[in-house]
Amino acid sequence: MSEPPVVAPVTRQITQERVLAYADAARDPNPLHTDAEYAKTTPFGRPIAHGMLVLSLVSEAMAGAFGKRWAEGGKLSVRWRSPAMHPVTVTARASLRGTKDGIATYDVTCEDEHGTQLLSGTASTPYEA
Amino acid sequence: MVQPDFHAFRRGDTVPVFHFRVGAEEARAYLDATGDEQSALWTETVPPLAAGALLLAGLMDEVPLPAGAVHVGQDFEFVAPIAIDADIEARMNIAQQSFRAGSNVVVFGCELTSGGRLVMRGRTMITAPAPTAEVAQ
Repeated sequence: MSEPPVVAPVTRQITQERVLAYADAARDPNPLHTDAEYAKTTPFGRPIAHGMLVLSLVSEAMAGAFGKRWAEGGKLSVRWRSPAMHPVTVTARASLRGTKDGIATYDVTCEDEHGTQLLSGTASTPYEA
Repeated sequence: MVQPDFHAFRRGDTVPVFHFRVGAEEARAYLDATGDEQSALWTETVPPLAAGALLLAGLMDEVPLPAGAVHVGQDFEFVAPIAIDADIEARMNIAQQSFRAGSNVVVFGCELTSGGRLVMRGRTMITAPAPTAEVAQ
């Protein structure tokens, strides 16, 4: 039986420009992400990156390890733990938790450059041919 | 048409069925915005999380979120690839709803089909400050 692959981390800087591009591409109009004046009225006090933008790094990491198979049986389950205050450098990591019946399950996290955990959860996918 | 009220949802309620598609330009825009370095994988099929992101956009079209709403959790199961520009039907319901610590916590369940085939399912957890009457209970 083959071993599941190591999932390489993905690191990316999330800037205001990227957040604006994501808001447009994902059709997410929430001003919490894009409007500094509005964000001042929220508990966050300033704009935060979209959680789904942060999560995209996890999906990219899994696709990097599993290719198209990620879209043919992959599973994600995450909870956001802290807001990503951009500009921020985010690193997504996946560490193998275990395997069962040809499914590999990884613990996944995203952290900022200060080590603050932005999200955590699990990702799993079939890994045998 | 009257849109559903986020705070009126209770477990078992449904969101009106909606359709969307992810064309090549939309997929490209998503990949460029996220900076995805695996973009070569997604020339014929939709990046899985792009479908997820546009599902949420469709949900927000159907259900305006109240001020202070925050997306706090997400589960996705990618069952089958979704072809670029294919029609996708989204069926969503309220899988869970509760008032906790002054917040209304709503979990939307979803199933996406394309060409009559299940392609994705998931759960989306959103919290928002609860209406005053509910906080007082």
